[in-house]
Amino acid sequence: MFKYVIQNVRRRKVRTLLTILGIAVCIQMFTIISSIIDYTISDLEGEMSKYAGQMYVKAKSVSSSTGETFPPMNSSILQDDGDKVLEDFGEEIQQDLSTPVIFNMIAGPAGPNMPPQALAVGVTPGKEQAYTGEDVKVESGSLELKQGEKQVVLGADAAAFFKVDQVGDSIQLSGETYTVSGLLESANRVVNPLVLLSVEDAKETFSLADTYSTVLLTVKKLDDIEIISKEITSDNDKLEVMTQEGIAENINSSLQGTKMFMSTILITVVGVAVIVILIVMVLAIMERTKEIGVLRAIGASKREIMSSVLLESLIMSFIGGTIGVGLGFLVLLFVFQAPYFFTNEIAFLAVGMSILIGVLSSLYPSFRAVKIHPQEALRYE
Amino acid sequence: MSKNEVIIHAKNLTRKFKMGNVDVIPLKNVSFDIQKGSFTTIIGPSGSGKSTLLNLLGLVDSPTSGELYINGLKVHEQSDHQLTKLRAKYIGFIFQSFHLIPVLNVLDNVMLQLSFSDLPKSEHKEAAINALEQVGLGDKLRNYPNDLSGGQRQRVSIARAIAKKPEIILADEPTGSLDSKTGEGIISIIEELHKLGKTIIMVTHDLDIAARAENQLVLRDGEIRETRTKDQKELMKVY
Repeated sequence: MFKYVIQNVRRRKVRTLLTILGIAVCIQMFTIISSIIDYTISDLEGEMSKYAGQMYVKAKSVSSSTGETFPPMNSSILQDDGDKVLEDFGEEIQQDLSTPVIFNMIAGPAGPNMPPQALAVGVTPGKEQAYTGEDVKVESGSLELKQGEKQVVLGADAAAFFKVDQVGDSIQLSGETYTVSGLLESANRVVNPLVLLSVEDAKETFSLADTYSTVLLTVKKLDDIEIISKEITSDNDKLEVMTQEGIAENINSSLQGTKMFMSTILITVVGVAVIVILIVMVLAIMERTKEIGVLRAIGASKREIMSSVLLESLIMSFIGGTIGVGLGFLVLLFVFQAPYFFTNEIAFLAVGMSILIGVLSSLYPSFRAVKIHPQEALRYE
Repeated sequence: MSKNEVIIHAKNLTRKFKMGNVDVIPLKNVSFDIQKGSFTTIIGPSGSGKSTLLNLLGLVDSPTSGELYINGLKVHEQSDHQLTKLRAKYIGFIFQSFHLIPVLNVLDNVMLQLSFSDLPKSEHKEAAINALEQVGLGDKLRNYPNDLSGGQRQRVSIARAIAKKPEIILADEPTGSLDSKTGEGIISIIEELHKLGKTIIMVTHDLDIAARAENQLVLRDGEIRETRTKDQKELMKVY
């Protein structure tokens, strides 16, 4: 019976190839979308865990917090307000991990849910790890900035953006020349786009006199976060505090829409794939009514007929699925230039999905096939 | 093998269909016995109930009323699944239009039938080759049905029917699609199978071919009007 099934797959070569191609395209889309969602979420979750104890003091949002970005690049607070917070809570915060921050977008994301390609971040020299995290790895040079020397430390994506491959190279930021004093190893979506410079240089270069984007605080005791947060907002109604929990909520809510959109596409893709095989299999069964009647007459059981339809459908969906996973990887590699989005889990999930598509799409054709009566073989003789 | 041993016992077989609001009764209270190893032809004009009777004997249909026994087994009370098993075990079909699977070669066509039988898989190939050699197609194993003449295709169909060594072979107008010379060759093969002890039941329009069988059932309007034997003696018991 297996040989019969294989021959059936080969019987209509063009139709089979087009079906496999259809499945491959669907699974390719599934692979790409799933990879992007999966990478984005796991990356953000991984990052979030590092920010326990951190809080961003930022300008109060006019609307609700839904859809706010992390880090709070669009915030702008008065320098005096920021300095006062740092001074007021000097006892409760870790001084070396608390700093005013200035953000300035240099090159935006290459695709949806992707980090910026290059983001200028001004911090107080000596407190670089407040923003990068303490586990950041330096590829060459040093992480530490020197005050007033127009130095930058570049993350991997930012280095690629500026085509910098060694310490000592120069880059231009808003017309000013900076010397690269350190290059960081590829790490995560916070570190990779980083163009780290001193906060004073950032103010001067980006013409931000008397303002910061935010103040980053790292508390000594986790339990103090809520109390400090309340005190800051009650002292100054122009400020609000984004804590790790708040950041996670904001990210989740801003991702929600994207996730729903992506999920809708995924469901549509799977639905299209199921319909493609379903149509092909129903046509095949209609064409083979008499043949199936003959098989039933010469002793094939309903189960054997059903298995043959299922197997035929599975062969096409599995081949299409495997090709689709390969195509998806190639698109991530060459178009998105992000092969690290692709994981074994995604590959297995996509192939598993293609198998599920095969099973789902064979249900109705199988039902039709087993309904064919062996008398069909003897009819119209 | 005893020729008096009854392999098929039919008693008051009736088959009714509903076509719209009209009841159609293509077979009415048909009763007969068929001995093991006999050669029986069923003849009659179009609409006489030949195909309906063949469907019942081939276990691809069930009677509306009446009783049908094969080898003493009450088949009229069996489920569809059990009928499939019995069909695979007892019945070999030879069709008028051959009904070979075009995408499979001659050997695979015969082996496909064997995959539904109880024969161990390791014996399928040998059994298929033996059957094809028996019908003179030992040199055409790798040919596809479309490469063969009508007569050769029918011989493949016969090989497919006999490979699993069924007790009963049902032939539905086996020469209907062939010229007389080729048809004669097919009838000769069927007669050879009969000589080897197979029970043959054949539907035919050709009275000359029908007359070569030991027994003839003449159907008209869904009833057995006459039973004949080769020597015109009443051999079959008609109720």
